[in-house]
Amino acid sequence: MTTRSFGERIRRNEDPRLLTGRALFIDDIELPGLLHATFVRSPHAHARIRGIDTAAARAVPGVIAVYTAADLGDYWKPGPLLVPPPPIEGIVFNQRCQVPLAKDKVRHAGEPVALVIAQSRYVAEDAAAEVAVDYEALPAVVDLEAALKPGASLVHEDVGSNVSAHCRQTRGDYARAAKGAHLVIKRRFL
Amino acid sequence: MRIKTTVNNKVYEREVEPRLQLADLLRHDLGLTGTHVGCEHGACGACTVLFDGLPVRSCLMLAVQAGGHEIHTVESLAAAPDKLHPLQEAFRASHALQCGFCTPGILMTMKAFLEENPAPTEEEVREALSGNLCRCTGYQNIVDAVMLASKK
Repeated sequence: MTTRSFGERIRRNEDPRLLTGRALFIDDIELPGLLHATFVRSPHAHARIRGIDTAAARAVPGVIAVYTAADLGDYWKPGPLLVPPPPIEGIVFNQRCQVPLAKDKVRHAGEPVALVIAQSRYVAEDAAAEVAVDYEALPAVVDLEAALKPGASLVHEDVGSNVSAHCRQTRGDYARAAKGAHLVIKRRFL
Repeated sequence: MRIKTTVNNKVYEREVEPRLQLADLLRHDLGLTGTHVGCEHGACGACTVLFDGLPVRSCLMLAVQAGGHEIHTVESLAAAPDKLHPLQEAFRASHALQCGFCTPGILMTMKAFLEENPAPTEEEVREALSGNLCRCTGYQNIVDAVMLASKK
């Protein structure tokens, strides 16, 4: 075994590049014909999208394309579930992964609604400001407990409630342990 | 608009839109991608460059403001790729960087700081660093590196 890495500080090979500004981060890559994207995002936490008019944005010189959920066709689908829930018996798990662009309604402030591709970032931002989204603002739920009350505004109507996941895990004999404890502390964690 | 600016001791003449940010002029027009743009609104300090010797946020300045002025970016620090500036050497020796994204802004901020205050206390270094965000190494090693550099 080599002793090169033991008993002394090791200087990193990548540091000179990073320290002198010669590293190559993704945003540093400049290719011929490189295009720039910017997203039109929802100003509402919860709203129905009644319509999106992209005509003015498309007409901005230097704009290559403007996409909405409707333009994505079959490519429009929720993203993959990256972290599956643990295999707990009786678990309720209402999987609703993020969609690429909001369709029909937005579910959080900042949710992407349209994508503008242009010859420069400046033009893309100009055109994004020209995308006219007709929103019908809906009541937003911003409190965990209020979200669970009957009649609360639903983030996903098809789920029927705002419960994302529900599971109960037990181990041992709590009742007996609590009875024998000299002190029982009760707390709610929200 | 036509501007003439000196960047890293080299004179550039460019035709720019009045709204072009200084950071974009440096990165895209001049190809000096060592200056990084993090937050785009002056909060993170990654885009810090020296403007006539003073640290400025290049994302909050327009390229046209650089007309007739001297800009220094991180690319100007090392005399040669294998000859690091003492501040850069200290960062390397102290493991004061991980991903390196915030590093150029911190180096330029600290270069100006050490010129103004060559023998700072640790407290003063922390104060001077307060406008630069680092999201991976934490600040202790950066403070150590600046203290080390100040003793060279």
